[in-house]
Amino acid sequence: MRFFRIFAHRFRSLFHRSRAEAELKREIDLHIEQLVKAYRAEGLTESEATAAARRDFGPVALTAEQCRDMRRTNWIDDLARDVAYASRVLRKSPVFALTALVSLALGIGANTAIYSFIDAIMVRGLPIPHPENLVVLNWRSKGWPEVAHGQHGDGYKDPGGLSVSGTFPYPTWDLLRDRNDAFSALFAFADAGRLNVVARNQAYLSEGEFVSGNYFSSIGAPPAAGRFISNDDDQAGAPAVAVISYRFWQRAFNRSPQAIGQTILVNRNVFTIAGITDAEFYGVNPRSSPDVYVPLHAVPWLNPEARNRDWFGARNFYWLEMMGRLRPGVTLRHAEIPLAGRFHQFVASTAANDKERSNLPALWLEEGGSGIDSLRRQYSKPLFILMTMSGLILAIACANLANLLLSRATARRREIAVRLSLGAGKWRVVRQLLAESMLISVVGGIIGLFVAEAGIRFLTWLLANGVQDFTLRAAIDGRILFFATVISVVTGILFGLVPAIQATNVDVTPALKESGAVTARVRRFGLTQVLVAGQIAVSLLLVIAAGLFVRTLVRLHSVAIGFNTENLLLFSLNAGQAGYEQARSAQFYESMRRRFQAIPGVRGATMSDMPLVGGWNNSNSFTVPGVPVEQGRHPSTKLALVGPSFFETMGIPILLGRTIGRQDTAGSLRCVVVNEVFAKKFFPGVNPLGRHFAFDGRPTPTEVQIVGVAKNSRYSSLKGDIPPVTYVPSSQPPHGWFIGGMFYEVRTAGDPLALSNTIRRLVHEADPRLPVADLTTQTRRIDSTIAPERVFADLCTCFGVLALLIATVGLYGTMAYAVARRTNEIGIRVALGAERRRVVWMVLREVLALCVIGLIVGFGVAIETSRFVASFLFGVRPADPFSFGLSAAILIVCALAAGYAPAWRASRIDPMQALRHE
Amino acid sequence: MPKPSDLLQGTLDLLILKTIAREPLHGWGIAKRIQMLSGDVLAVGQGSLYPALHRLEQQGWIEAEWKDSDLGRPAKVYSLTREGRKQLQRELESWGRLSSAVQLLIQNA
Repeated sequence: MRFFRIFAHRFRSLFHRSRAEAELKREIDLHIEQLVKAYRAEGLTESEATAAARRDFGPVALTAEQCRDMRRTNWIDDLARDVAYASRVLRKSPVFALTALVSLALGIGANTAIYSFIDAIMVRGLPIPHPENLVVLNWRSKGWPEVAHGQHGDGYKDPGGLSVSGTFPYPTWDLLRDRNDAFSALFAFADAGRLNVVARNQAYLSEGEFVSGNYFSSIGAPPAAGRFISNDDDQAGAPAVAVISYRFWQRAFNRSPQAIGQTILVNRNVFTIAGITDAEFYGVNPRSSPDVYVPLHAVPWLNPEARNRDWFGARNFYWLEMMGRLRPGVTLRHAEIPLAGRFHQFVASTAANDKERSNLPALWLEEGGSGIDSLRRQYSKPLFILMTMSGLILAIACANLANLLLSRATARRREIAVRLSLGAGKWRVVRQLLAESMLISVVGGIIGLFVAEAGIRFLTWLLANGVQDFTLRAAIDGRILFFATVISVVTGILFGLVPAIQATNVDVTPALKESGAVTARVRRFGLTQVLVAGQIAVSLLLVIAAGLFVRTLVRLHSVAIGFNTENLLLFSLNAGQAGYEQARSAQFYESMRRRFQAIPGVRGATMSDMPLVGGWNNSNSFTVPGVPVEQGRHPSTKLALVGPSFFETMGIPILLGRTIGRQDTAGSLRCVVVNEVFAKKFFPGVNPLGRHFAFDGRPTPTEVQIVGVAKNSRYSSLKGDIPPVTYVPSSQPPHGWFIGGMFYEVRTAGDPLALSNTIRRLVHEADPRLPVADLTTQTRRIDSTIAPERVFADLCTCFGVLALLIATVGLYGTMAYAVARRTNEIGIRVALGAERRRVVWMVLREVLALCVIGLIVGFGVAIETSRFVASFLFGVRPADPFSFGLSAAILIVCALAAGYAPAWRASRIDPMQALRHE
Repeated sequence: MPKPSDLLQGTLDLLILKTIAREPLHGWGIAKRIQMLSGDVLAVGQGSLYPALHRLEQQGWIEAEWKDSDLGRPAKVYSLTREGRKQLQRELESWGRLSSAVQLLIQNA
């Protein structure tokens, strides 16, 4: 009650000010009137009574002001007045104000943009009900657990060197679901990879996900239309149903409600659409965003590899991923103990020998509120490095703000002294100065949000790196706005308070005696100088970082690739998914290759089961007859299945023997070409031509003969040593080897991408069910493998340039201001015969002194910290002398450039005018 | 008019609250009443009354209303709120403690 009354009262005071004022006047007038009446009754004359009444009442204006003070809304009035005053003051020095504003906006914008990514990757939960009680099931072991005979899915090494994966054999799901008190639900899923989906006679390549019957019910998000896959659908023999994503519904069905119940072809199998996911929903892995969800039991239909192996019964084949929902009140560790025990019993029972028993995977649970955390693992470190850098940018920007305020405060010493001597409270003056810094920081923050919006788009574009359907969702939302507000306000207060307090610590009397700018003491090394030196140090750090990452990129680009990457078009076709059997698809691939070769402007066309230097890896172990196997470890080679004229088209020279050609057919003698590394490593000192070896494999090993040795070329990535590579004719895949799809490499005379439409048309004519995928150039493909390095180089260059810009402007401002304040002194020097050259040098000397101090500090910090980015460098040492030296040189040049204009202006000072200068 | 003795700091609030606890009054009336009830010993500095009234209103202890008055035209009439009564209670208690302490000090000193 009291609260509302107070609120209403204050509201009236604030917004009906004129009425409140009128009432106050009436109230006081009434009182004085009564006093006058009383005195008149005592017999005084009208004028005597009025005078006496006024004397009794005291000063009316003061009383009224005291009443207004009591109403306490004054601080809002004051604030409005402070802000108005501040904006007027800032408008009077637009260059400096604009500089502070722009640098703050850039700093806040950069931080907000990077933070929005951190928020999207690290903080935000899945867009489903109660993401917080989700857990992910994982196992870990030292090195690869021998008990897992095969795996389909992802694994990684944790920082401690342990192998970690979230894939399990199917029987463990049944085992862990049974009698589980800790979980209210345990659901399973597996990546179905890219599927060929035909909807309304149009072929799409779409990401797919196998999901258990309880997947959607456990997740709990409602469908946008239709129904979700249920336990009844996930049974062997149940009618095939699929759930499609909202996005796919939009793309293929234009959001028609009739889509429910329609059939689609998934890898040539007929599925009926049961329902559509919500627009927000993207599964449980933020990295991917499946378009088609099918029951787990559809695995054998969609995955040809699963036809040779019983994925549901196999106890040593790891492919199923699982997540659970904790019951209320159950902790992660509490739930883990019984599950880990049961899983241990299970894997122990699947181990066939002591070696397998010696290293069993151990189950552990991980929080799953943000889903599978592969994105976090990949981006957390780079994002924190970027966040640090953008934080440094903000720090430099803040230093500019602080400098602006400091110099402003010094210039206003007299004004402040006058105010203080007239009785203004110190706090009141501080508040007014703070209003200025807050005004800049808040306006800077608002502009910064626009910068952030642009920055988010730029970063998304940079990170997506041409990947379609990039699913990282960063956007400005309430939390980001809060973050931006907090950093703006904190910046304003933090960097405004110190100058404001310093400004009000004025000894009033001497300050009042000062006549303008003449005798103002300029401290040799005050806060301003510390800030400028700090800016130089931080800029040096950022420029060095930019130097290191740019040099890394240059080194990567200068890596000898070993084949000609110019004018090479890459794309892939997957005939198997369109329903071709292995033998027929081999024929199809070869016939397509010949058609591509016949296109005018094509110099050569070949194919391989993987793109070179595209991050792909195929390897197989093998046995060389007569060479004993050491400790059960078979040697291993990288593998590429290649079509005819592969070496000719790619431009990989053959050093010995022959290439692979059209004569190498399914029926002819099995032959291979190996690279130099292979030849030197496994056949040292002997001629490898004509030698035999056998790929290990099921059901039987595949014996092959070496017919050629190719010059070394990059296989999977630009980094690391070139591995031993064996090129196998695509017509002769080793036993048990499965060709998923085929990549074509087409060498063109002109711009390779100009052929895109011709290629698409040819493929469509041959088989309309086959979409062309992964169409790009070899150069772009290679670029995509060094995307993180490129992003770092680009962003750090931006940051470095930004830092230089802000610091240069800051230095310029400081020096220009110092010169202006010393106009008188310099004028006297010139009048006494100082040479212009010496005056220039006098100013530049100060600039250089600050610069050198900044550089020394910067170097110290850089040497200590550059090793944190070592893992992102290639071919460059963290303490790279070239980057360090060049950065220092750039900074010195910038500092001199910033200092030269004020120095020149100082030297032009006319002594006569300067002495009159007040 | 005799010169009134200065009001002890902080007692003005108490006097105002106590005065309008009986019946709502305008500023002039409050000043007169205080003077009258104290046998003309205490006189509120006429000007200092109003800031005090505004402060009490701001704190929600009294509320004001423009009403026709005995002065022949509308006046701003102050009355005690429920919270104001509680505040008066508190002020009376603390005044009681203070005055008895002062009394004690004077007797024993």
